Amino acid sequence: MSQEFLEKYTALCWKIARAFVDSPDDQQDLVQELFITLWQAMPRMEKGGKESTFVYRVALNRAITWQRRRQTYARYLDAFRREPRVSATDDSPEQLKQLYAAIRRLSDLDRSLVLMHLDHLSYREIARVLNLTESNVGARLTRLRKKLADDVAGD
Amino acid sequence: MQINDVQTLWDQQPTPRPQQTATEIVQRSRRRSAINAVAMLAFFLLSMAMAGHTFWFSFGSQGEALGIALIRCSLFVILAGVQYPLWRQARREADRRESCQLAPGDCLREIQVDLEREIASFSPLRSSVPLLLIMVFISLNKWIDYRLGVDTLAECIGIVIAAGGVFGLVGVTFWHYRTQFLEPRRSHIRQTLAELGTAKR
Repeated sequence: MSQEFLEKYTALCWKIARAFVDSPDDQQDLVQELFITLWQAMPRMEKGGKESTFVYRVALNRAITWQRRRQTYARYLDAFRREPRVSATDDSPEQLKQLYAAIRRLSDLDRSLVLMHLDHLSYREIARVLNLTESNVGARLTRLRKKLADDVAGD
Repeated sequence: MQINDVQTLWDQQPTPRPQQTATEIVQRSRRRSAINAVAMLAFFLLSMAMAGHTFWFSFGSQGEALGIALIRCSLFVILAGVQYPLWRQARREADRRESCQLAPGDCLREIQVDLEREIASFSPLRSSVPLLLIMVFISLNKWIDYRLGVDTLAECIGIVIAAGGVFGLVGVTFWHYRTQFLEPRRSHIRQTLAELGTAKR
C-alpha cells in the first residue's frame, strides 16, 4: 500500500465510516478496515471497469459487514466495559454532525444511496452499485434528500 | 434547511489527514494474519503435546505408548480435517460478500440464503456432534490411562462426568445462539429485503 493510495481514499473512507458508526474510536477502526479491504480488493478490479463504482461497492459492502459484526460483539463487550473509553474527539461543525447523524438513522441501502449521491456519482453509477433501476434511484433520492434536509433542520 | 444546503454542507466538509501511515496499516493487516497463524500453530502444538504426554509418561511398553500417541494424533487430525472445510467455506462466503461482485441488495439476499440454510440445518444436538466426539475421545483416553494404571477409576469417572457437564453446557449455548442470534438476524434481513422488493417494484 502506498502513501498516495492512502491519501486518495482517505476522504471516502472517513465519510463512509462516519455515516456508519457514531463513536470516533469505532470510526477509526472502520477506516483502517476499509483501507485494508480496498488495498486487497484493488487487484480484482475489472479492466475497463469504473474505479469509483468499484471502490464504493467494495467499501460499502465491507462497512455493512463490519457494522453487523460490531453490533454482535458490542452487545457482549459493552457488558464488561466499566471504565469509560478514552475517545477521539469530533470537532466538525454542528450541522455536519447532525447531517451524519441523520444519515446513520437511514437503512443500509438508503445510507449507501445518499452517500454516493452526495459524492456526485451519477444515477447510472449508483444504480449499478446498488443493483437498482435508475428510475428507482431517482425516486428514492427525491424522498431521501427531502427527509435529510428536514432532519438536519429539525435536530 | 434547504436541500441544496445539505449538498453544500457535504461538499465543504474538511478532508481529514490520514492518521496512520500506509506502512502502519499494512503492518496491522499482517499482524492479524500472524495472530491467526499462531493460534493454528498453538492448536497443533497442543495436539502434539498431548500425544507426547502419553508417549513419555505412560507406564506401558514403548510400542504400546507409541500406538496410543498415534491414535491421539490421528483423532486430532480428523477433527481438524472436519473443521477445516467448514472454516474455508465460511471464509469463501464472507469474501464473496465483500468482493466487488455484490451490491448490498444482493449481499443481503446471499446472507439470507446462508442464514436460512444455517437455521434449517442448525440443530443444537447435531452441531454438538463434533464436541460429543471430543468428549468420547477424552473419556476413551482416560479409560486407556486407567487400564495402563496411570489414573484411578475415580479420576476416570470424574473426567467422564465433567466432560458430560461441558457437553450439556455447550448444548445450551448452541440453543441460545439459535434463538438469540440467528433467528433475530433472519427476521431483520427479511424485513430489509421486503423493503428492497417494494423498492424494485
